[in-house]
Amino acid sequence: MKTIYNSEDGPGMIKDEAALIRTIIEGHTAQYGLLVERYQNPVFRVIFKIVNNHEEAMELTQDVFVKAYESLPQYDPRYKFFSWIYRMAINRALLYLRNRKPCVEPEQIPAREREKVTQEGQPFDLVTKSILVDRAVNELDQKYKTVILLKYFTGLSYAEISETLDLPEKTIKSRLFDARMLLKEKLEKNLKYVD
Amino acid sequence: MLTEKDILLIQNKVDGTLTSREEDRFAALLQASPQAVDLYRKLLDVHQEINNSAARIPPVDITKRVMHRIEGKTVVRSKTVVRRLFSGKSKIYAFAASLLLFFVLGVLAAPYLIPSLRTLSQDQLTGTMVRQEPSSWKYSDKKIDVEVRQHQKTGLLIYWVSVFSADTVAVEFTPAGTFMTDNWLKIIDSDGMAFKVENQDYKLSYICKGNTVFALTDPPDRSTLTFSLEGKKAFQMKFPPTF
Repeated sequence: MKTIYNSEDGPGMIKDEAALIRTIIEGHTAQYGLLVERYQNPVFRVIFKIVNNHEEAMELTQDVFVKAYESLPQYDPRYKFFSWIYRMAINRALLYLRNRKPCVEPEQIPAREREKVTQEGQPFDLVTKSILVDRAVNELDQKYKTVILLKYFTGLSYAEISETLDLPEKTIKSRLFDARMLLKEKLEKNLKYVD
Repeated sequence: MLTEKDILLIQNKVDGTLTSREEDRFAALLQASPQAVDLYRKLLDVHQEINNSAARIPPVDITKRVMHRIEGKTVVRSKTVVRRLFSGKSKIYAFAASLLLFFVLGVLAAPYLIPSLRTLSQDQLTGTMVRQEPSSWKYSDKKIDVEVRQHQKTGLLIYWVSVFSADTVAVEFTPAGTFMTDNWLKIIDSDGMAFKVENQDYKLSYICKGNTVFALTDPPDRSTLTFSLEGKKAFQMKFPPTF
């Protein structure tokens, strides 16, 4: 079989995804593990930032990869696999969120939970700061939030975000700028109580 | 006053994508403009805060679990029904059946395509949406298919709205002169892109692509559901449908 990933680059590096996907469709199911290894963490991070729950995010990430596997024959190799899987992940997480009860506000986190996190090595202010940053991101309109998630939690470039969301690169840059300014405003308002 | 180019330069600096020539331009900009310095600091602060937030998410390994779940499932690019029909010995029958089907569809579509064949009741339809059954409506053109089905459930009037388009569709629900709640229009399922845009001025807006199913629950009288493609209104449906 042709080399489709380079073992020297580690398990996450796949040289030819289209060829890899063809071999999976032909019946080499085990090869799908390479795609899961490559994308599980960015997909998990995006879903986690949308649903704000570790266990639910783990389940949903698995669901996305299983669904992607079942849908591989519909995958269009003209596009990058990551844009397909991230789009699927965002849609799945948003759909899940709409059908779920409202999430817990930071103030509602029981004191013992906060203590637990603090004991794990981070000062409480840092944890609070992190919660406030998360909350500010969550409060963004979906169009801004999606760009922030893809930029920071998957590490995609502007061109790749543009392909994933099927929007011009200029629009992505402008949305990211607006999103950062909105976040700055929200954080300035909230973080003054922490610093 | 910062220009669009200046802002882009600052944003690219924050993202670490400047060329050495642009680095020089960026340095000159900071020297010349305190506004640029302020904006750069703001963007960099936010950038670092979110980066820190992203770094705090611990890595996961779900490979084994996923592989266990897909064990025994095979992905086979099966021949579609159409391809199967049009290959082998059955293809002559398939072609004959297709011709017959086109003829029947042509006869059925003629009143809609040729104005002189239209009846008065069809001219009275709202937009080009057609009532299929007492509780079902359908709208189709080259770029979009919409089907609306009405159901009565525990005293509520629910409309299932199925939208299909290969392009991005904006779906907007406007209730007539009443308060706004997210519960009126919800996405039930989607195999493509589908997300809520924002609540603006008593409107619920969604963007979708591919197949998307919405549930519209008990819309107030004179509410409207508008479907737009590329910023242009494709059609609008008023509730309750009177045609």
